[in-house]
Amino acid sequence: MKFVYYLLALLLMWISAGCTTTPETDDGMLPMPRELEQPQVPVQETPGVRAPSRSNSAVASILLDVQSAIQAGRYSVAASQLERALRIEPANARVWHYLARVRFNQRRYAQAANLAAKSNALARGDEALRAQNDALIDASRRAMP
Amino acid sequence: MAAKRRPRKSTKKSARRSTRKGGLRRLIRRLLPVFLLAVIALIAYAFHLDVKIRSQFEGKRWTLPAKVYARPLELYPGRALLQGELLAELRDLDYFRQTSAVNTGSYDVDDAVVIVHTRPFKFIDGQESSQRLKIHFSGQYVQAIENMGDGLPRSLVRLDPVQIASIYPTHNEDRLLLRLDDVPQQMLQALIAVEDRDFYNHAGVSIRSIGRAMMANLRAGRTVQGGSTLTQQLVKNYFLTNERSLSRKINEAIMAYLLDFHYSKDAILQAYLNEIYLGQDGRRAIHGVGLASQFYFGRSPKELNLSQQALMVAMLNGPSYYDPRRHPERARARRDLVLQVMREEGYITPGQAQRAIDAPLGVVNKPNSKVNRYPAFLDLVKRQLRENYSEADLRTEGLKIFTTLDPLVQHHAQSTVSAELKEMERYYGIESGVLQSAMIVTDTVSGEIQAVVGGRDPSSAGFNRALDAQRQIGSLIKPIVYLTALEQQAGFNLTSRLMDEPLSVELAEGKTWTPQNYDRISRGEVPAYLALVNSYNQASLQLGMQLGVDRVIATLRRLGVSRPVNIYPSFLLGATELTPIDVTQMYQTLANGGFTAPLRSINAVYDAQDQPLQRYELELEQAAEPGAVYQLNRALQLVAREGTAKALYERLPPELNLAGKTGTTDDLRDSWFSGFTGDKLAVVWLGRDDNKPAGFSGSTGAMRIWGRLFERIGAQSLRLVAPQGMVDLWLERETGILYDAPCGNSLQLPFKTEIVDTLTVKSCQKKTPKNWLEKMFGQ
Repeated sequence: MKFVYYLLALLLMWISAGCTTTPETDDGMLPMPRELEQPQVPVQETPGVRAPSRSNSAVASILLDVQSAIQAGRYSVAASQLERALRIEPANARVWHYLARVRFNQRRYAQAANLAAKSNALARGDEALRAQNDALIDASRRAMP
Repeated sequence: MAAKRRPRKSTKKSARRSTRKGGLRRLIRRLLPVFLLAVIALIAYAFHLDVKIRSQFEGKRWTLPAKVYARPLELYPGRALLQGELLAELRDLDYFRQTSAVNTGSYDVDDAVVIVHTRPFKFIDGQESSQRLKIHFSGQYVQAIENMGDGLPRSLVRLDPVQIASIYPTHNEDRLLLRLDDVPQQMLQALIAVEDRDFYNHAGVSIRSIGRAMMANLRAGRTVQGGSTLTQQLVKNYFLTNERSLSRKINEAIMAYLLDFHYSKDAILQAYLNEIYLGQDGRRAIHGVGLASQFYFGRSPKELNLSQQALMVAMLNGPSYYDPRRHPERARARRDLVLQVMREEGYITPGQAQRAIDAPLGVVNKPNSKVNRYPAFLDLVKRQLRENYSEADLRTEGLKIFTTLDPLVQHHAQSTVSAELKEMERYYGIESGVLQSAMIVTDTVSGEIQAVVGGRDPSSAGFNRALDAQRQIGSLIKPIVYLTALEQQAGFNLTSRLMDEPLSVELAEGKTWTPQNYDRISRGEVPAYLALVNSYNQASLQLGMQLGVDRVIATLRRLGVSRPVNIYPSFLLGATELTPIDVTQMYQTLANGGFTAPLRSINAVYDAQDQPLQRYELELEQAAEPGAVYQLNRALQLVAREGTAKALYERLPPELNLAGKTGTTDDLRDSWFSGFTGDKLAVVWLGRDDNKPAGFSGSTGAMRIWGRLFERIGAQSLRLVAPQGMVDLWLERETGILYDAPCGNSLQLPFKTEIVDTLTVKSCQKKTPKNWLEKMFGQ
């Protein structure tokens, strides 16, 4: 039975790796944050009152670094960079998902499951991402001692 | 001389009194062991000094204070940042203004463009190299960032972090260690020419220099020149005392000789450059050329020009006497002397010397204090550090502590608290200085603490109200009651009916308790959301009693609050004492959609060699059901839209969509507001230290401060994302009928899809124009 879980986990990692290395695939795993494509709430600048930051390409550039860190197996660096991305875009479901994946690769399964659940809570309408989160949660739960 | 004469004398005497001869021999025989003992003692003493000087030199030569850093400032196109805020950060970083920002650590301003020549810095996740950046501003935003090296745009850069504090050894010495290679050759030449010409030839002590100095002093009739070699000066600095005695001079000379015997000249020179005292910054003693270079010139020794190098050497002779900030004329004269010596020795050409003499001193304004600029925040950092490090480690090991403090937010938070309290006292005629307040600002998802205000006085390191003031929290507890119901009571939703009417609760000892609403009006049957939004005590108590105090306390525990609480029904109306940081943890979990991230003030700790010792990472725990938290947060948005916090939108932009809750305790003793946007949570408490009534409700006191803060900091709009399995319906306000679409004067509310079948939902027949509010909520 354990062997099957192991295979599942491997499969998941293979899928993940495939996704992160082929940014041109249109499976929703582009490093570009989805928020860029969504229409923005119009921001009226009230005089004297500060406006919020706008969406930007900063997170996209971090995700490129994250990919290379993951490929090099430097998970703690990748995690730090993802935390940095979350400071800029706290509601980016994809960033949460990547962080969950990094924790899974670090065998921190409880955190992987929690982070994937957090990603899910923000991923309404993105069925591909939800499916990946669900698979990650499943694999994490199975891998937990 | 005396020893030679004495035998002759004794010979004469012996001729007269031969009987004494035997006595003298006896005396010598008796004194001999004493003499031998003295020699042995001297050798032992020299050995002792040897051990002492060697351990000082080789062992851990310097105790280094821990350095505490703020978060680095992230810059990216689209970031809400005023040009003035970037400049404030650069000043905090002690960057100096220079045309075209040629040197690292400099900046220049040209209209809406700031040129920054960044310093390199090693972060947890990689090295940020030094770059010359052109940062374009447009209104309240960073518009574009261009690297002037390659002319390409940058999508994200970060500056080196501001040092906000140091945790000092008891002697308050601070230094930046450097290697000999880090010091320009010319400066070394100047140092040797001026301070110790024979450095490379003498054996630690130089008879020639002593002779030269003695001659000079005799000629002048006072001490004008010291004969100490650099080696002796180093020894003197190691065991710094101001004693000027012969025995100390002898000790110094012996140790200098021993140092020279054991170590290379370069090793001694490097130690000298790191050890030497070069000035004072309040309680902090500036040691070593590395730190002094930053302290006086705002750059590293390698970047000093000839004039600055000469000035540095000039100051060695008397850092306070030649302090270029306090005594620029003396400093200039001494610097010119150094340049003259360099020219005479042939290290520089007469032309170079003249240009350097004509140059200004090149001293920057006194840098910002590195001692402790944010005592309330540092207090929190130290508490967290003490869990893993001893006080001694913190004071001596040169640890680098990377915290989560955002100086821009901290600055606004502190100044808002200080200014608003003053204004409130003035406006309401309250005795000045009586009101107190505390505030904590965090990142909503990561639990990183961006600012801590411990009281109205920013410099006070006294009572830290943000961490230690235990005060009743009043209605801040209500969301926990409703969350428990949304999670655990079958069919409960935001339109469930509650009875807002007098309710008597049996207490111990046969007493009963009948709480009133804030305005002493009972409203009868009300929908749950309305009871929360308008903070009706009686309806909320009724709901809480249905659930049971235990279950509500259990919810509070799940949200991350571990402090003991009141277990009686009055708990349900917030008659329990928590600190602002407890409340922050509780609301952080709500702001994070039901996921608890332990509050953190530290991201990482590095050792003196830049190796990571500890990471404090983002960790999440799912503490509440996301669907229930989503419904609650939607109601908390209504608190600001039309409930007890609606005054906030008189000044804040409607798109902020903030969620929040007011809290007021009996007799207006405590005024609370906790609220969050898309990226920031802030909790504010206001009251008096003596717990007497302060005279403010949550809305009139703490909320006002909260609102003023969010006018000043750029916060992201709160866009709640509905978790799977949620659907919105429209509640017609007058009739209480639910519709599946906007209908008349209706309010959009979220429901769990699974309970919709149990509700009566009608299709709307009226035409209703969408207002902006509904557009906003239409996800």
